[in-house]
Amino acid sequence: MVYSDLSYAYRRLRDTLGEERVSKDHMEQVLYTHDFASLPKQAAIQFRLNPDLMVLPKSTQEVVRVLRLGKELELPVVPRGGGTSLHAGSVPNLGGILLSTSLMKRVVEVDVDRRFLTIQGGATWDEALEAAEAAGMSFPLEPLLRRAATVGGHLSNGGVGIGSYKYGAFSRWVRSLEVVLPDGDVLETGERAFDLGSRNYNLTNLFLGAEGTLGVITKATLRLRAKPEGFAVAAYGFPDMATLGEGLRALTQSPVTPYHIGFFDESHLIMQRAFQGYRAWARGPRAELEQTPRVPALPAAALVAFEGSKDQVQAEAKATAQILTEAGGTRQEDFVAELLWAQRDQPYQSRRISGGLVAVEALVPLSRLEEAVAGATKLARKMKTEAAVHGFLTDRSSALLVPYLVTDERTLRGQLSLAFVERFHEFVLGLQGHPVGLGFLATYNLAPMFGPLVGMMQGIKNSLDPDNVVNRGKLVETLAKPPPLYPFSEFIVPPGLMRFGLRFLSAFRRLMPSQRIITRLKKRGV
Amino acid sequence: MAVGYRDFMGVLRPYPALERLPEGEFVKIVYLRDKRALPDAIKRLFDRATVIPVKMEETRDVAEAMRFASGEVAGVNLGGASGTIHYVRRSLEMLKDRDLSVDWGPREDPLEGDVLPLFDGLLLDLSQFRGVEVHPENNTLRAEVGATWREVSEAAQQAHRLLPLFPVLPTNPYIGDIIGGTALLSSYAGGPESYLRNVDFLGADTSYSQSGFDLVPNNATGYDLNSLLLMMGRNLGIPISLTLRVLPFDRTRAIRFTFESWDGVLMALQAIADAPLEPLRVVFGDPVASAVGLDGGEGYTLEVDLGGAGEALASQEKALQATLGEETPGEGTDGLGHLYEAATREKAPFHLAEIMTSLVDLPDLWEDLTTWVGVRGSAFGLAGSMQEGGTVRILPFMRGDIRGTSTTGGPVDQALHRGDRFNRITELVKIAQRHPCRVRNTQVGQLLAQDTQMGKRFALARRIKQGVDLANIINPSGLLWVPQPR
Repeated sequence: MVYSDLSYAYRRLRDTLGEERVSKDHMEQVLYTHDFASLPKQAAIQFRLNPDLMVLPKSTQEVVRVLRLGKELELPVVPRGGGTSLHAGSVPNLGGILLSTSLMKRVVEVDVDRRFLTIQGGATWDEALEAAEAAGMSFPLEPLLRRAATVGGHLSNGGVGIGSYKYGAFSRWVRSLEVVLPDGDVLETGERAFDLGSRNYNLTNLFLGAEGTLGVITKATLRLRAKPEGFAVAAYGFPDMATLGEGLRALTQSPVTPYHIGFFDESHLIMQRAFQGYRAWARGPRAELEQTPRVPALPAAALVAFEGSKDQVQAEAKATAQILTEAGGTRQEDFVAELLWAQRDQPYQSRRISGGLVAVEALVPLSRLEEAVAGATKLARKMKTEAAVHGFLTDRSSALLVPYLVTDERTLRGQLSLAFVERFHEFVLGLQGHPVGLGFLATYNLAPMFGPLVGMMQGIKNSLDPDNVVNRGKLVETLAKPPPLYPFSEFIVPPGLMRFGLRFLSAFRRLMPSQRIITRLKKRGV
Repeated sequence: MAVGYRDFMGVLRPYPALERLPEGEFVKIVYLRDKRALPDAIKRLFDRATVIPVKMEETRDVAEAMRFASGEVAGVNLGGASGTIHYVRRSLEMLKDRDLSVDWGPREDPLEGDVLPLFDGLLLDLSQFRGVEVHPENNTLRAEVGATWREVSEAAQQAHRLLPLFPVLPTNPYIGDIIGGTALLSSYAGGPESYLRNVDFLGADTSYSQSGFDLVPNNATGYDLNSLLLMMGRNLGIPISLTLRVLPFDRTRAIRFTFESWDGVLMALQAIADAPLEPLRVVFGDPVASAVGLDGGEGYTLEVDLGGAGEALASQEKALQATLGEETPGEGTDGLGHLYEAATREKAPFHLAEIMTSLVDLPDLWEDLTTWVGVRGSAFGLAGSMQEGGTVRILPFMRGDIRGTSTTGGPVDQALHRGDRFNRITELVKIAQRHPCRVRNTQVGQLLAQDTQMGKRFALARRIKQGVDLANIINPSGLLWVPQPR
């Protein structure tokens, strides 16, 4: 790899995009050294987390030019959307050019007759959903972090979201993507006016979940639908996670198909209560704080949303109430359901109280839900910290589980808590589930997940990106800074070494003092 | 293997559609040697490549054959009946000095109407793999590739589960052909990609792998290999079994509407697409299709299948009737409707092409297709289905017997042997190309205009194939480049 001509690259990019959209400023570099997952400072020993240059293209053609330049100068190009990835997927590991899509927000086309919306990849999901709404239509799915997650960024990371229980994965609702391939070629993966399904050489799904390693998503065509006629939401409290798991399984065995089924453990509800109190406290006097409606302290809770025709919503809500009540659930007051629903896209507000958190996502079989929640909590305790857990059902047999550790990332023990990710991933694989997202921190999970197919995935990466330009050293392998003895080579980090490193951090964390923020809040009666 | 276009000019004269093809396309088609696509006179000229159908009974047999084909081992030792082994061994001895390739098919009559291997090699018959296991606690089922759709569907229903994938024509495909590309199954909520969770398959390197997970979806991490296997058809691996999601169901209702004209169907489709309905399937057909599968008599037929719990199902049925208006009364029956009842392997019509378009662009296309049917006669018909979002799939079809075209000798078979089928597909492709749609045929029609229709996507699919199957062992003719001698 040749880094000697960075100033040449800077000049070329400046000529292409204009001075105001190219930067090599150190402060900006620091901003891009992490995404939602704060990496410990020690990671800089192994990886070049600072991008050398940062660019803000506005159009597909500008992205083409950036990628062609990256190929020409052998500079890695790291695409980045809203930076909401939990696993360093959009953080440079080898420096290079960071391509932020945050100025690519234009609504390209809305066709109500053919029911689609084409939008640039840098628009947030909030903006995409608003554009659909403005056209008198709707899009049925939302990512958990829809306010910040970009369309291209989230699609690159998969997967599922709120509404997936009824409407399936995002792939079902994405008709086509415009992708700039690593060689600068522009590919339309499907058709805009109708669904191609998986046939007819529809390449859309290949880029969903590829974490930006096969190209940059510059536009997405989303299928729209008519606005649902009716909507309702209900919350149920359960005496423990085991009873909640039984209740949810009973619901999945019935023909009733709610729009969304979320679940929360006690710790998550405590954190939500704490934040609601904090917000009210920040706003006004104590009297107002006491009147502020807050989520009740429950050992476990489920949130069920319905949509469809008015009659259907009514019928399904009634059937659900019967199933969950028989399973030991207690229907909560309407304001609880409304509060939990309103906060569905802000699961980590408590970060503002604690000073940081480590979140990790995994898909687990529904049959082992309570085991997974208990396991996450236990693993956190072993690391002398505490986990809160929330998640939702992705279909009738699986759930997206999102445990998060409440830490203070300004301290060393807070930074070391990142090691929880490795322990939790290993635990989830043992439950026949799998982690969601690998970035460059967790690529060691690829072999346990796919076995001999890792070679097939590497073959796909090689055939689309033979020069390894886009998001180099992620997902299918981890590349790090060259070791001192071999300064001109990239260092392929053996999966075992990466795992060992995180385990070492985990062991080190266990030697440090405990951090029990949730217990403290609980003792205070939050 | 070198075959020149000019060698056949004389033979082609009676077949104008073939003669008009560009040389490259023609060579590709001829190499496929589809029994029903090509006239007998031409087929005889190409009966050169040695194809050995091998009956497979266990996964290790498939792996063994793959290793043999890739040159990893010099011989092959297959389990199963001794007669089969004897035959295979003798055949393989004859081919030991040649490069071999592998194609596969879950069928007992592998040479009948399928795409045949381009190169000398093995054609694996996987029809012995026909087990079905339903896991109601996980709402999934695992079916081996040789099981038919109906066998799988009935096993699911016994466990009070519904496989929400249905054929548009009354056919009973092998479930493995979902990967092969010839099982045209869909539902209102989407095609196999929405329900396929995992494929157990043998890759080009003979490793036995899983493309996904049985209990959780895999569309969030790594490259989506389930979708890739579906998209690439028979070219990336040899599937052994599929894990599919199924739905719990209480009751299903099939509501059938009959219209005197096509306009009535079109208005009904538009109303359903705009309404807050969640049907399992929406299928429609012209009078020929009605006579073949929907049992609708003379007119145009629209069938909507609904499923769900008691009250919710009743409200859906009520909403459907309200959507279409009281002047269009539907006839409701319990179960999965006439199409389900009529689905057989033995007397199924076969589709000529699969045309995907949008509801908005359907009227003009349908008009052209109807004119074409009118010209071609009552052996041809049009059926279709609608998916959510107004995507419409049209299957122009030919009435006839899917099997035994060389033995029954009826008028349809005679037409097939005259090359009529190929000519009809060519005509359909030309009609479709005048409209905003995509057309595909899983057999010979696939060759037609794929490069121009799919453009860069087709080229990229080839690159993926080359990246994954370096030695080009699995179905080397699959992505249809002009063959080069190996």
